[in-house]
Amino acid sequence: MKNFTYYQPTSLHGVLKVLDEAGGKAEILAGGTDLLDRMKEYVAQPEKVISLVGFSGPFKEISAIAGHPPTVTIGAGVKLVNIAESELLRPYPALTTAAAQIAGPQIRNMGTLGGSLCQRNRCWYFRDEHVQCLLKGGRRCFAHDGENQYHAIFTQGHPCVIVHPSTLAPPLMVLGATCEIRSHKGQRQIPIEQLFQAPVKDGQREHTLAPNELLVSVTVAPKIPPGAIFRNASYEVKQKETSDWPIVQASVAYYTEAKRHVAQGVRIALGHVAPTPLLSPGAAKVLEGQEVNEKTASAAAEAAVEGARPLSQNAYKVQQLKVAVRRAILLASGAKPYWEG
Amino acid sequence: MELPQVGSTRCVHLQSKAMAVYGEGFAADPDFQNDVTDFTCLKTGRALGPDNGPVNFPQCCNTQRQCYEEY
Amino acid sequence: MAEGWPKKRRLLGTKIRRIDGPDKSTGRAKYSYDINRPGMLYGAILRCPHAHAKITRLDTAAAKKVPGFKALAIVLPPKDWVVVKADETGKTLELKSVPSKKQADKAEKRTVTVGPGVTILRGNKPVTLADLKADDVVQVEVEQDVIGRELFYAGDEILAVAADTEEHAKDALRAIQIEYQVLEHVVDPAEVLAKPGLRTTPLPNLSPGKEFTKGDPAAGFKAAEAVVEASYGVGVISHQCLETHGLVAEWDADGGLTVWASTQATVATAAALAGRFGVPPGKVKCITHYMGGGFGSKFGPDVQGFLAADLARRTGKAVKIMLDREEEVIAAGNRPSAYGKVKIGGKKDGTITAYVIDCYGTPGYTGGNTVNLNFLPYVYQDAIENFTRLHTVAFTNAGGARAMRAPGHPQNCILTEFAIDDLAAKLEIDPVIIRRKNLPPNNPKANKIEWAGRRNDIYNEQIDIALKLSGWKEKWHPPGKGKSGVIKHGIGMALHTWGGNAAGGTTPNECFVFIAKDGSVTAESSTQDLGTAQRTVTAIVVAEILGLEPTDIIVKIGESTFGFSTGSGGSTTCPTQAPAALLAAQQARNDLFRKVAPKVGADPKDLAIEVGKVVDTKTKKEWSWKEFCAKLGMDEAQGKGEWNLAISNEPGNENISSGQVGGVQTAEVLVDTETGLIRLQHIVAVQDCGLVVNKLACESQVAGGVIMGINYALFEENIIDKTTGRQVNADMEFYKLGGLKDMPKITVHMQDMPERGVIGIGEPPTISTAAAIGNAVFNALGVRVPILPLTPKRVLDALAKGGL
Repeated sequence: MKNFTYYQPTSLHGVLKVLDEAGGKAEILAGGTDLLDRMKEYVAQPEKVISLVGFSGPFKEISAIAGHPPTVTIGAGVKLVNIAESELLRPYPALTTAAAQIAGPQIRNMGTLGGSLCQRNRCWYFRDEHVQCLLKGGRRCFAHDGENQYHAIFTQGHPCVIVHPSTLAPPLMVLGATCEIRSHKGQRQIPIEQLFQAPVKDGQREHTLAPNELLVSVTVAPKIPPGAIFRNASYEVKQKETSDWPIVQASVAYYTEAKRHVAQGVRIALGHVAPTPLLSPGAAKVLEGQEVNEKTASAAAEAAVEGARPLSQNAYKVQQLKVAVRRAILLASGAKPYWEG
Repeated sequence: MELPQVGSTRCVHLQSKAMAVYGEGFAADPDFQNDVTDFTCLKTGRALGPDNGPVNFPQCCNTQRQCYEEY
Repeated sequence: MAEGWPKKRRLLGTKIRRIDGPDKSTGRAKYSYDINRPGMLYGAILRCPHAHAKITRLDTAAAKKVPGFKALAIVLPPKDWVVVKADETGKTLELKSVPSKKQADKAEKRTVTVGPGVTILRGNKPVTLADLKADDVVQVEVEQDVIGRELFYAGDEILAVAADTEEHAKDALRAIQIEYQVLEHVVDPAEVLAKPGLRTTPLPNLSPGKEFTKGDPAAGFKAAEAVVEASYGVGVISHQCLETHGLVAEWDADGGLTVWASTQATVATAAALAGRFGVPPGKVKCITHYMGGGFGSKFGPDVQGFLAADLARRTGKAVKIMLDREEEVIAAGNRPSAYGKVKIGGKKDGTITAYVIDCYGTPGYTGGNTVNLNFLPYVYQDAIENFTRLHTVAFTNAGGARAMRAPGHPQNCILTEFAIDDLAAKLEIDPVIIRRKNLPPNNPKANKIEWAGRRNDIYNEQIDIALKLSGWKEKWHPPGKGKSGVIKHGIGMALHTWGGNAAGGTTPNECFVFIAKDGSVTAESSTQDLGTAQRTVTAIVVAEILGLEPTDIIVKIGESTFGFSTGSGGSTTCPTQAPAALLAAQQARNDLFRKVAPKVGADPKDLAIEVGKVVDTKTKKEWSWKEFCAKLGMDEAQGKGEWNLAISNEPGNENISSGQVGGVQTAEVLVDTETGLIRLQHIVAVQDCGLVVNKLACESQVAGGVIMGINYALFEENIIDKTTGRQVNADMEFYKLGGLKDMPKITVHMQDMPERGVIGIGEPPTISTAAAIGNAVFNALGVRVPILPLTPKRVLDALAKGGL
């Protein structure tokens, strides 16, 4: 990797100060599972690397899971394994099961929430130093008519057809999460949907943070009327059960009355199918007010893939996405999984 | 076992898996007989010779090749 | 006459843990990758980023200024010259070619202006003009000679640098200024077939084969009750050795070279280095105490080994070059692809009346056939009366093929076994009927103990065992006719064969056994343990003969100076080394008896070994092992065992080692028809390998082969982008390899046949796994997924096309 200046500030305040002074030439180091790879491959060549781990351990502002369900705040520095195993997050299997299935134990023990949300995409053209794609100052997206079996199926209006790599984004989106963002100059909160963008050129990231901003925490706070039962689930299609990326992912959340299984407040999000994690209001609308069963789940699944424009080699992902949405809905409902033999 | 006849003229630098396993008895290797063995030039360590040309049994038995060296 | 394997076996054939297990699991075992020498430098290789190009400009000046830079070597080796005149003031060196028988008439001359970018070496040491006199033989490297060189794939080696750290070596590489003329490339073999005139590889891209026909296929199809025509195939995969290729090279003051290499052939690697650097073989030592897998791809120093040794001689320091993962995948060999159009005809009684295949595949930019052509239609070819086979090699701009665990066989197996199940479906019969009906007959002229004389019986027995262990009778159903639901169950089978001469080559493999007066026993051989438990095999054999435990034996292997041994290829290591160890141990024992008998008042021929002791069978006197050995006094008991094909053919030696095996595997799968995902349930592997030396290691070998076959079936494929000509998954992220959770229950059944002697087991068990899985998926779906790996995309595409 290219030489860089390493900063290990003693406080979060110090991090923000260095970040501010770096003027966009710094990368944040948390678990390092993405950044170190990119640096070793010369895909990232930052001048400065700022550690989020102080001399006496991670900064406390970013390393706790706290709150009272339904409102729980997760620090950006919380490890994936701790999300998967969190007692406080137990009401949110959409999130915990997604965290538990990311990569393998080594990654989950190092990778963080902030890293999952702010990591760069896994497109194999982007990750190849020798390929000048759109995101690296080139003139074309090689995946468009190349090897695109794992790329986006929602491609309209996207000159770059990466998929967003975060497996925690879709569940957080259906859980109505908000992000707390800080810089040396202040702080702001945004709904998590606004954290993501589809990059189209060099210098753009898959997130909307300004170069001097840091994601500090994410708060889940689904709107659940008193007495209602909140239901949520995620479903991923992965070719391998060990250390693999999902090919498609769906997260679903809704609430019902105690007695009738009619879905209300439905939110459905899709992962690994577009340059950003996608909320699917169309699918949510189809399920809203319906009794949840295989038929209504299938109808919502059909709606979820509306507008999909797959590439030359990934039409199969449209089929898989439908299945993922249907199965996520049924999992959330507590129905016996029809797909388990 | 009857072995295929292999001529005595081949470049001293020709090497293959069959040769690493069977030495001068390399023609006994079924992989060699089926041409699924891979060849290496011991001058370059590669599947291309010092002349950057292909390394395989017929090509490296050609005594007229520039880089050919007799045993 | 040799005494052969003991009739009563105490250790042989039992389950024995590896004697080096603790060393490996605690990290005490040092692999080549772990070797760090004092002052060692790190080498790194510059590779062509384009799939086909010519070098037009090279400027290394900036690289040489990078901190820590020590040396640079061009890939094509420096050429030998004779000095005519070394002119120090004019900085020129006049040279003429080294006289050779061949080129005496056309002596080449060259004058080199000496300066940056010119390296002169004499006797493997860098020299200056001042050191030279007329008639010195020198090697001269002129960096600019590389201009115009054609590079044939993205990853092709150009030069290497050495620096004090890995990071500095990489920095130096990146400081090299190099320009290319980019040339047309092809990475898809189908494109080669479509454009026959292409020439983007060292040989013309298209290399058509010769058609071979046995009998009368047309008549065979006429006689058939059903005929199936289909296309099947499998992509290119990489060896993905966990320890990548590479070595550490260090020259000594006497001009000798020691390398710590990850190799399957210590002796051949040392010999190759000796030849390359003009050093007597006795002064080159290759050490491979532990090794992280080779699978057929590590039979010599390779270009990176030559470069490391070259950089080491220029710097006078040890140099390490181990490939990184990307280099390992693109440049260290592959199992080539095979795609075939198959037509098969048969009858309801199971007879295959005709089989015709037209197949092709790509080995990359270099290599040979991509199937094992003389063995098609695979295990059934001796029974099938009519067949035609044709194979075309399509060279492409990708890394070259190398032998990989049963080269060509898995491809053969897929192209044969898929057709059998498709034919069975059309005939509406259980495919096992076809397999049984077309098994190769026993050769009545062959020895009844050997494979050829009993292969039909062995296969039938193996099928019986596989049917029983897999529950085939209860589980098999006509294709696509299992239970309803989105998850489909299927079961499939495939057969394999392997082997030729397993006893080695011309020069015998050697093993030495020494018994010391303290009773300690040392076994020594230059052979290498690739992870197959060869070290433990040697210990077991010696311990069996000397009445000791395997852990009592000091096994020294993996150094080229410990006598002669052949490369570990063709599953020949155990069948050459176990007999050599056997003979060495028996000789050492006899030597011990001879030397000690007079001292204990016994006749050597009355002495015998029992567990932990020596007994006089006549007087019934006995001595503990240590007690007996102590009487060696100042002597040592020695034994040397030698084994090769010629020795194995000597009378009385027939039952010590042998070759050729068969195997039957079944796979049981669940296929999710909505997502296209395949979940394996159970693999049964039935395998013969003659006399089983270590049942535990043998079963592990088979399970390992099965796991490799599973990955071949479901996950692995080198994916190369057509536009850039670059492999997009030269990693372990999108080059998928299954982990623990992806592996099913694997039941291994070893058929122990001690009467056949030792046979290798490395290659056979990986052959039929993929074909069995493909057939199980067909059985589940009733639709053939024709191309491996069976990705969810391919499963869904096949379902969409074929319908359920």
